[in-house]
Amino acid sequence: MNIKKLLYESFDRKLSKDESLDLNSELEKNHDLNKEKNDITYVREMVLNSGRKEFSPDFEYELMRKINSPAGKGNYQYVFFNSLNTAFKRLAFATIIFIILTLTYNFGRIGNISFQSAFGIKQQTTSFADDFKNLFSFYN
Amino acid sequence: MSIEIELENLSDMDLVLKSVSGDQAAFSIIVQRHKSKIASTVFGMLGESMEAEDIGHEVFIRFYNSMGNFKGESALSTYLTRIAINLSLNELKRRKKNIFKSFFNLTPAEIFNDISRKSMNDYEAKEVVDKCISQLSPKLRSVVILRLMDQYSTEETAEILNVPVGTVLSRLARGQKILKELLTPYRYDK
Repeated sequence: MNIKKLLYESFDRKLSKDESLDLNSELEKNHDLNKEKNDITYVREMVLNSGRKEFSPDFEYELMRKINSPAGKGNYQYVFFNSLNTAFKRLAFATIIFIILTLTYNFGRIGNISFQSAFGIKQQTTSFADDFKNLFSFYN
Repeated sequence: MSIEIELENLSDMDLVLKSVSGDQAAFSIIVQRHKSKIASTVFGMLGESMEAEDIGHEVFIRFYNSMGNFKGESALSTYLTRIAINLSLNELKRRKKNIFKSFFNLTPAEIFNDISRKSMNDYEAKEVVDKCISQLSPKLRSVVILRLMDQYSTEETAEILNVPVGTVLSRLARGQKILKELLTPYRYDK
């Protein structure tokens, strides 16, 4: 096994007898490995000593207040309507974005700002009427 | 008063059973017993922030609402820490998704990058470690917090994170290598 890997693992698991012998003999002759061991020990001490933070003094009071509120008590009706409200907000936001994009696209495509262009309705031209006239003239 | 002392002598499992039957005093003892460990985990994962306290509340609220499912197969502290880790990881994901982050609201990691080695001496060692830990990915961070800060055994850490012991060992090694790179210059500059 890689000796450095063994060194790191020696802090967090019990090494076998052979592994301990290998690591110790390497530590005796390898200065860099020794330095690495000291550095790891330093890092671990720093992390350990940096812990132990506490919540604010009114943590428990606030917790019990939340627990006794409708949402905290596992009121499923409240949770359901709350989720529905959130889902609706997202749907409404997506719809607004869709409408804005559609209007922008239609205005750009048709080239003017009007009620018809907003919905992608092209202005009817006489050529369109002529097409109809020609179509019916076939039957005459 | 005597009832409270009586409750304090009960085991975690007995307190859970009492809490399930609606005894909020028993639940309060559970909170008192485990809040320090949860605080250490949550603050370690998220740093000192407003959200950390809310996540702490959420841990106990989730447990309160699902106490009936707790069968005592693992220690209560392990069970609560697992909830705390999962909620903290969700919060980290949410923070990552927040693309509307203000340019003026730098994360500790960004602040840390701007600090020269010289000015780093002015910082409290705790703050330096916090900033270094915040540079780790959530996966490495959770292992470092549980094993090195909260002092869970390697096996307990694996159980909380639901990963094999080998994964914990390799993540610990990677996490410590990164922390070593970040912290040792501070050590030799002191």
